[in-house]
Amino acid sequence: MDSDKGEELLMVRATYDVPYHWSAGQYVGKFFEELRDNGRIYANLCPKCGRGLIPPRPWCARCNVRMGEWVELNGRGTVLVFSVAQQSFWDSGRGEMTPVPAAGAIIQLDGAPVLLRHALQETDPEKLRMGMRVEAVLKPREQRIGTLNDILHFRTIEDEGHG
Amino acid sequence: MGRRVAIVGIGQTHHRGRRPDVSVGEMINEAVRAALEDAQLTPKDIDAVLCSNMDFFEGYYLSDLVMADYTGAFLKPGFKINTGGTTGGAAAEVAWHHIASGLFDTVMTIAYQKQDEPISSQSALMTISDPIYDRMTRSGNVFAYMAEQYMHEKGATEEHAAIDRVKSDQNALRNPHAHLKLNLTVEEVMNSRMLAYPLRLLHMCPQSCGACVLIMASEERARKITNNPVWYKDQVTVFQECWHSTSEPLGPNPVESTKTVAARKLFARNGITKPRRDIQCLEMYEPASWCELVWLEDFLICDKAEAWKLLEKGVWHLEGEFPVNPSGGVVATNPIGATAMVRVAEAALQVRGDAGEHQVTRQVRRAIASSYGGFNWTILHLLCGSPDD
Repeated sequence: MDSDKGEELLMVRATYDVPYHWSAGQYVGKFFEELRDNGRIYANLCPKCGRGLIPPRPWCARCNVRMGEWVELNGRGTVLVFSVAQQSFWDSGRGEMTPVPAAGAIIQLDGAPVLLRHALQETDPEKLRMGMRVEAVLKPREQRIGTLNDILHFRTIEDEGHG
Repeated sequence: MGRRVAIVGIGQTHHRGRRPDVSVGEMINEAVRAALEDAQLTPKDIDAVLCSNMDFFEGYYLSDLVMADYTGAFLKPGFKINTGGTTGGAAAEVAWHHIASGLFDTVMTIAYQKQDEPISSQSALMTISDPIYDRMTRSGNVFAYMAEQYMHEKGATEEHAAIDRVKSDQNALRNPHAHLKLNLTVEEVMNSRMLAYPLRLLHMCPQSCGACVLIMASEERARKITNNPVWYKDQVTVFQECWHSTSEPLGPNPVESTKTVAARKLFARNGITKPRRDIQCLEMYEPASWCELVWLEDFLICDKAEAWKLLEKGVWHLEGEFPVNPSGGVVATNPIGATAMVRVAEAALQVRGDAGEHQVTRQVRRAIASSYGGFNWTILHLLCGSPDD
């Protein structure tokens, strides 16, 4: 049983192919439906602490109360922190290597006290900074299927002039 | 708090990147034998057996299949525990519950992971998170965000993460069970490959194979088994909301760290008012070097923006005022399902004075061990040399 003697260390190989379909639920389902069909992004608000949740959820876990009003957001926001991934790996959900470089950010959206983690279009770290303004770019209607990836990414707002 | 509980047996494998020479069960058995040997017990002395792992790494979900054949659990009670990254810590906690409740006297608890079984460990790991929301957007690296925020708000630099990594490496070099022993320089860490700015390859934990086993007993049994029991004094588990974007420490609705909540509660009910005085060392579950600095602050071991300054003074080093991860930590050794239990085991060795080459300089009366996992969830364990401490 000494591996130095050059015996083969045998491996048993297998690959699973286990398809799933997950129920989005009533709240996230409605959020995805609005995003897919109407290109609208909603958050809902906690009537007690006032925070927003995106996608909307039934309860505020912090206050243990039912969430309240749904508010439509304009898709714009401010980057609080970002990173650019340089390392690719096998994405077991999509059956492909993850693309690199891939920029991600925690974005504070306009219109409600709410954060969203999503992808940035700009992947050059030199062109990214905390506090930069970004806006959601949706996929074309025919490509939207009702997931958070119906938002393709957030692009840099070059000039936020009014008019 | 129930009955007093002590750790009376500690066993670990020699953790390595690949273990093609053994099956999962054979690997676990190495640690089982080591723990029984350490406690001078045989399987007939054990009342119940618990086991834990993150089962998607090995790829089969009835991972308690190994129990009877490889651990001595044949015809005994017990069950499998999986709480994600904290799982090895949860397995120690549940053994404590079993004994403190009075239902069992001597419990063996096992944590393991064989991270060379999946062809890509990362693709197995990504099945952990919410499929509808978090997994879909591949929404950036949680530790890269943490590191960037720490530099921006608290004044740390990339060099501090490198100094911290070298500190851990120097400790790992003294630990016979550690996986990575690299004899690193600060420059090597700072020039290692970028994974996601500012997170570099040598900041991150490796993928290790290994198992860890604790044998725990009631006070009456413990005193018959050993002259040197390590008391599992107290423990706190803290959960938080499970979705990214909802649970960030920044923005308009910042959430308090589960580490801070756990530390405050644990310290308050154990009379710990000055942590660096009242506790003598910490085995922290730090998946990246940056985490060690940020979380020392979150665990209330030092003030905000102070961890990197105390690092410069050598406070966290093996010979320092408050050694952190004398074992070399998770950046050196990460058999992920066992990682949280290795923290408890290593802290127990420090209390027992049996850590050998990596025994800290100061006398350890109390040590704490942390588990990280789930969705930034925390388990914090307090171990003591005396049950009255």
